[in-house]
Amino acid sequence: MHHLDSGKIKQLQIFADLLPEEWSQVYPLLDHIRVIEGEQLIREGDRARSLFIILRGHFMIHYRDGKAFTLNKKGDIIGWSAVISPFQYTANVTALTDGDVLCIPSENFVELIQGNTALGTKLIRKINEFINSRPHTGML
Amino acid sequence: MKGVEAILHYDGFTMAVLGILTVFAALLVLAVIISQLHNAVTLWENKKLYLGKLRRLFSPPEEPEPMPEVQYFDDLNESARQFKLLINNMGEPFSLPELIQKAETVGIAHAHSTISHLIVSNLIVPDKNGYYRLNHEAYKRLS
Repeated sequence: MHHLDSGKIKQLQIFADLLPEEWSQVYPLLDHIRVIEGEQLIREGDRARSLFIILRGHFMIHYRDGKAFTLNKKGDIIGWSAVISPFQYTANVTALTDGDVLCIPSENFVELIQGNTALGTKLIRKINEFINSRPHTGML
Repeated sequence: MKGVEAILHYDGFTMAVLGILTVFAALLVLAVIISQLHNAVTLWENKKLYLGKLRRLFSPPEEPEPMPEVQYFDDLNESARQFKLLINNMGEPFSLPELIQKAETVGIAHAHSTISHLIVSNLIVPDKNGYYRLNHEAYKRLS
């Protein structure tokens, strides 16, 4: 990644409370992924290897029973199963439009959270805020 | 020549002092290495992180990429008309993935982004239970 403006990404809600030294640990873990319309970002049942943060685009979270929810806010988090046991995606995510997401590999993210309690608490609290603000989307 | 005289003659005291200094210097270096071992271990464990930092330090700064906004290229009126026919056929509330599938089956181009356009334009609205409805009021206003 790192074609993206670190300052702008730091302003995303999930990272907003991080101290500069904490941000310097998180930033190298971020990857920028460009997605195209119709691309499936997450497949239900797959091992949750990454957490995604929307930078641009409209995404549909959909389940086997036909239910679906859409997300298009910058900073919205997709794939929080990547930080919650049993680390398995519980829904499908498809891009409705071309878009950009930040990708954080689950392994590195969990390692970081476990290695730095203060940083881990801040990030998990933010993720919980997202989960609580979107109870209808389920534990993706 | 014997004893202290011989020692002085052959720079014995200087050599002894140099020897002591050499040994102490070596011990000091060893002590520093041992005291920093934990940092070396941390460096090794986080080598990816530090290598990334190092790489960025020596690589020229990259220009931040401009992030284009989502753009829609479909004619909203025409899309709404086409999707209304499909929704009428499916019944309401309907499943969004199913609508996409049907749109693709009947050959509507860019079904995903068209549906996104209809959602952001408030022509297709969620029913809060995971299904969707056509916003008939908004559709009438469009017509």
